[in-house]
Amino acid sequence: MTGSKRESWRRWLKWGDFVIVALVVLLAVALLLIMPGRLGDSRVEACLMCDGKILRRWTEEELRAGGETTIETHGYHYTIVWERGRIRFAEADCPDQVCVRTGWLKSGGNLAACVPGHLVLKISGATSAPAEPDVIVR
Amino acid sequence: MTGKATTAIEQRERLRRLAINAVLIALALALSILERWIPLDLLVPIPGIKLGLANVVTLYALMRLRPLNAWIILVARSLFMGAVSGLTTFLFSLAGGVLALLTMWLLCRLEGRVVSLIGISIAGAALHNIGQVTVASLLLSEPLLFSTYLPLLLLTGLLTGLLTGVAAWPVIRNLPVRPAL
Repeated sequence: MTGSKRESWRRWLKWGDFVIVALVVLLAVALLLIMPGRLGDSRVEACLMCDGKILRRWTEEELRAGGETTIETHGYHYTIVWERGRIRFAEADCPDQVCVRTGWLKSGGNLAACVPGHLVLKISGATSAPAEPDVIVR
Repeated sequence: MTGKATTAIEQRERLRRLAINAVLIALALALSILERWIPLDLLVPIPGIKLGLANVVTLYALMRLRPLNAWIILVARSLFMGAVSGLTTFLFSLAGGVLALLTMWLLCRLEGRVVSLIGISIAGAALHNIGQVTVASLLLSEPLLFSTYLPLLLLTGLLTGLLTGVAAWPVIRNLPVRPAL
């Protein structure tokens, strides 16, 4: 590990580094390919789970109709909003805010999780939202 | 007289060891807290993504001190982060950290011949992400996290692992080995 201070780290790269990168990419691609939400289920529905139990389900029609609800689990409070076939954690008082930052869930396989509150919000089915136009101009 | 001198040297060595561990734990904690303020997920839209800056300290401890130092730093950092942010943060930090440290420890033996510091850092980032998603998946009873969240973390981990490795590079190159520790 001696040498001039200007020496670049790139010169020290070894073949094993490229093997590690290839293995990581392969694992990521393999996991993406087995994503079950992308399999062709045309029925869209959302569900909210806590500790593996379903707390609430939304049908495709309910998701399009829009609405808002609040929920409390493990001492944390959440506001869930849905509209135009999509759903999200709008507000939460959990410490890391990962669930809120996930944003809108639109299509099958989309998932937002909050580990502190043990909550998972996910969409099953393949259709992406919004399926209806926002405005029709005549 | 000789006995007293030996005791004094041993005591000084113990103090030095304690001081270095304390400084490195403080540094790892400071970096862990600092990276919480960097809104990386605004740049890369993956919730919960972090740079893993504290890994620079772990890498330094592995390469220049003893593996025991790296383990002490990891456990202390996880305990402190857990005390501040709760049990889930502790479990996350520890699970990711243990897997990353084990991997980097094994790869360190091949450093310079088969892999470089950059490869070790990238492997550490990948295993850290795998550890954290495994804990999240167990806590939430949601295996779907492995196929929705983990691939994105693994791919971004290539970049964050590279950055951490590059950041650790000058530190490890320019700081001397401390065999007495």
